[in-house]
Amino acid sequence: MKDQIPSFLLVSETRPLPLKHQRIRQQLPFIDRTLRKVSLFIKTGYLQSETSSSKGLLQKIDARIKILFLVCFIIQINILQQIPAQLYIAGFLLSLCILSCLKVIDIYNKILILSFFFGFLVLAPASLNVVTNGKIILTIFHFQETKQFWIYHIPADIGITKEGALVVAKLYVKVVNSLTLTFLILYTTPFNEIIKALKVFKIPDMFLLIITMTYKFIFILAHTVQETYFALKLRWWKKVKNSEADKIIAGRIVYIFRKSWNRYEEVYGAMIARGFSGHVNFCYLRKIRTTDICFLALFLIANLVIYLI
Amino acid sequence: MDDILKLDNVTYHYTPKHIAISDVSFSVKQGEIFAIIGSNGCGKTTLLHLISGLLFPYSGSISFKNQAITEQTLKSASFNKYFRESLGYVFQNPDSQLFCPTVLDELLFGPLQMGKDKQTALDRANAIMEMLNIDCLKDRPTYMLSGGEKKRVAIGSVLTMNPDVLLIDEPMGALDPKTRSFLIELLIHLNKAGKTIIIATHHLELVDHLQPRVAVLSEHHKIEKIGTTQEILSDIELLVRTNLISEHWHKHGDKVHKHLPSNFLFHKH
Repeated sequence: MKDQIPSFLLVSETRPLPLKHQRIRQQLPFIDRTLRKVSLFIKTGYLQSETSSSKGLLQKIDARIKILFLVCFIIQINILQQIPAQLYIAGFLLSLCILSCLKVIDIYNKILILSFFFGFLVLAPASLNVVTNGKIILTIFHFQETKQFWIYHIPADIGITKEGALVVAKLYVKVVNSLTLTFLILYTTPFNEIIKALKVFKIPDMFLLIITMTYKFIFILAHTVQETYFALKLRWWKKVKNSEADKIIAGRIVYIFRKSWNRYEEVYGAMIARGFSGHVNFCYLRKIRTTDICFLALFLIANLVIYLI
Repeated sequence: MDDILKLDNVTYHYTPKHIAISDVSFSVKQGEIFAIIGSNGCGKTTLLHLISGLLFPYSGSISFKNQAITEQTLKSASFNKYFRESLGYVFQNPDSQLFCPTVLDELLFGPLQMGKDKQTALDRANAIMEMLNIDCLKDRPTYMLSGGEKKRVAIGSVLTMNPDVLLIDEPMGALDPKTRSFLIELLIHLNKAGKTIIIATHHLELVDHLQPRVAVLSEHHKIEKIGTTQEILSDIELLVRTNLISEHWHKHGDKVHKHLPSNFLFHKH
């Protein structure tokens, strides 16, 4: 055996320990960046499962009641036009967040970031006088004269109107409230309970199955990507030519794609082997309890009070 | 012998409730074979990830040749190069480890990163392929290999770098009996040549063969005991408690009975 072992393996390499650490620099920052993002994603998943199983108010409520609460409140948020009513809802949701022992600052950070991009930035143009007529309260741009472009009339002064600002504010608060409500339910309900509750609401089996598998698959994929990048980090510390890097990264993408494809085939095979014929039978063992009824009553009262206000 | 690796009260968790490693301390001497054993999910792989500087402890410290292994120290290009060259890590799942287009590229990658010239890298790759009996696979894409072939390529890709310390996660995974015997022999010879070998496994058979110093991780992610192979394998109560052995049913002709595994030092039948 010993003569089969290459001679270079039987001697130690001379590797002088660097006397002084060189200036801090990252040769391949994308590896660390990817790893950080993937780890954060996995951590978020774990945190969701942790917070949903902690002992807060909403965690004690049956998922079916929470889904009903979600649907009704989303409708109410979208029907109500007055800003004060939306603010009452925001206050109510904030108190639910606190009573459910959620990390309020973390959750509102996420909500505000998402609502800024998908609420404020998208809606911001509606505040301008070119979209919503009204009295300009803040001039942004001034032309020498009015212009006509195709079917559009561009006034000499472009600015934010009072009416436009009000429309944006209303819609933005609605986006914030809808997001808060969704996060509230997501963070206080285990994912499998949400799926089972949706089944009770007659959501098609295939749709639920796809959501469940996608959710699970994203986690498996995240773990695979993490392992892959760990392997890269271990053996790739020197900058290589762009063409070589492209080859390696492309190879990894192909690998992950093939892995996903194989996983899909295996999972489908496993489903067929266990008698899958297009219908999914989820078993809902939990019964509606007094706490659930109390919450349902509280939520109906809150709904009514806000509506009357 | 000097300590090549030292862990002091290392704790790591994914979230505060998902503790992976709890207050682990041990040291590994240069040129020693060290085994981390424990049942599934006890944190063996996480511990190897921490040792190899892929993850960083939440509390406690890890040092390699008296140099702290932290996110900051590994940001230094010279130290990162030194550390990565000195410590080779073979993953449990070879699929994740292989990222080059072909087997040959995979074996060449490490030495070329180390700055070896092409001929030296090629000589190393050829010698390793011959030793691991994978020379017929050299132009094959790694995703077209069988599980055992992938494992051999993964081991080869680390060996071409000739690291001083070899970390191997579940060395026996996906290998046939002949390759297992070969790997055990290879590890013994590499150790005799002065390499430090750290393995993570739940195969007591491997521990029995390699006779390393052993650290037993409990299901609570803590070190239960550190000792010689003899001390650990003869502590039946410890092995049962840490789920490394359990009573099993089996047949002798028509007679069915149950007892603890009998092929280790504590042989009882």
